[in-house]
Amino acid sequence: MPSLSARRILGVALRQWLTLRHSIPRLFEVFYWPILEVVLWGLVTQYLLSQSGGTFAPSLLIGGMVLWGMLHRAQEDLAIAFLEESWSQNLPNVFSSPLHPLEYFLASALVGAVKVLLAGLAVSTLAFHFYGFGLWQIGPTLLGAIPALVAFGWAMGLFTVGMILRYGRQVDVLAWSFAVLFQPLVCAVYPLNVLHPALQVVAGLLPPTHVFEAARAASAGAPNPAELLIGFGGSLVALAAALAFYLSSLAHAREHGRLASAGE
Amino acid sequence: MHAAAGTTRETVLRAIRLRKQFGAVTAVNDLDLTVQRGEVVGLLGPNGAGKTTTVNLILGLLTPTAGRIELFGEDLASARTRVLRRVNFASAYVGLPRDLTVVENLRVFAHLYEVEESRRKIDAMLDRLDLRALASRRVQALSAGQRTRVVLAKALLTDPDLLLLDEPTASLDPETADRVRSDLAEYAAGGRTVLWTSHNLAEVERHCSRVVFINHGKAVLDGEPRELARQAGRVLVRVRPRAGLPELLAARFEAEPGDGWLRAEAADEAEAAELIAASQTAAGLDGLELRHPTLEDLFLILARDRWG
Repeated sequence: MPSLSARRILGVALRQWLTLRHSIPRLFEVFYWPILEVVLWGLVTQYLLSQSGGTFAPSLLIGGMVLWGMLHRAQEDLAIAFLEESWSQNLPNVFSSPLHPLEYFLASALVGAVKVLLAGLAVSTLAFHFYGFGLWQIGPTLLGAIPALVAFGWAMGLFTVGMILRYGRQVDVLAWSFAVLFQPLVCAVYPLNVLHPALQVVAGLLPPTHVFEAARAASAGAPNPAELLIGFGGSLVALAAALAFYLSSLAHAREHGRLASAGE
Repeated sequence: MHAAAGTTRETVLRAIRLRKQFGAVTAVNDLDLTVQRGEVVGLLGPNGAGKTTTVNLILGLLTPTAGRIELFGEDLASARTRVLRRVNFASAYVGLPRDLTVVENLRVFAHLYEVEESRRKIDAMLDRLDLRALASRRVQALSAGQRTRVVLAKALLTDPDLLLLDEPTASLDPETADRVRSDLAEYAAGGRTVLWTSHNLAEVERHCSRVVFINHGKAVLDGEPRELARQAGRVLVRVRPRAGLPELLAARFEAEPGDGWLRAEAADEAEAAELIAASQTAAGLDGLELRHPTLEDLFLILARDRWG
């Protein structure tokens, strides 16, 4: 295990925090999409409630979307933070400094976690105020569900960074789209059994599917800790695999000159 | 290769049979390079010679295909974090976070390099590089020259034991470039170790205690600038004859464009004196100049004779 420095981690976190503080569009974005999603799905929920005579559980849509938003934000924040360095031609400065790649990840994760929590707090308050749905209604399962989903989001974020390190700016678009690729499969707003049986097998391989299933079960008053544990453990495995991919991609980038400045 | 000026001095950098290939292209070809503490070494060569690749290898931004780099006696690959704390660089081809102010950028890099007493040092750096008035300006709002000074401040803030400069004055106007050169000269004069790549040979000649010419990724010449020029074994002769020179004598000269000056390279001062005397006798001279080659002359001679 390399010796990590809190000061260097703070340095990267400070850089990302200052970027956020200076940019109204970026600050706005922390809250914009989560709020938009909860407003949209809240209205859909209200409509479905009126149509189903009150038998429809609000947590199914609003709760699912709030939790999905946390995963998505975690992935996007990590990937965009890396792109910021690339856009400002700062990668050579960062990766020729004593900074360890794990320190870079930890700093990005730290800032990302703060943003996810701020956005989560905002949308939860909104959902409760306008639709009477409190995220806490999911119960103690929430305490495992949020870290598991954020960890999986970071795993996807690291995978995205790894892809950018390997293939360059041509895959920048993954920063915004990669997590969305999984959205239909992880069953954030519908139960797993809605999927085609073949897709259920694929979905079962994705840790967030189990987390969302556990959250739905908890909302319905039948908590399923085993399902949550599978989702949590799976997310940690995915994070470890993504870290390995990120480190190997960094080595690949050093091999192929993707971090280096281009002189002459 | 150039012998170390003092064997007791610390070896700051050793590149040992360093090779970097990108597919079929060999950018650095078994390069051996040693830099001792206190040396200011100019790394020169034509475009594509491998200068920037060498700098990137030393910074750990590239991994060598073969060979290795030692910094302060430790292997870069295995002691990366420890040795990179003692190295910094400024390059015309690298930016800084544009949405951060000058002072914020310096704060971030002070953290990354774990600079002690960073507030005081940032303050001193703002004064030293005349950045005080720009401290609260975002980097994106600065001119190219101002940005270069901020990049330099970032590099000098950590008080590096090895400073790498990759064409630090490229694309600057002459006045700003001169100012940046003065800042660097002041730094280098304090017994610092600097590896300086540049296309501006006058700047290298003025500030470097040693130059290494590389071509096709190999060091082809290494020594003190004046010594190298002397080693080139040439003396440059310029004459302005009053009339045409006899054919045999004229064949020794090249006409310079414009006002009648002729230029020749003599093997040594005696041959140069012969050329001048013969020209004076044959046609009389309105003007003459005799000098040893500058680095720029040497570069042109090498480009013509060795690099094709």
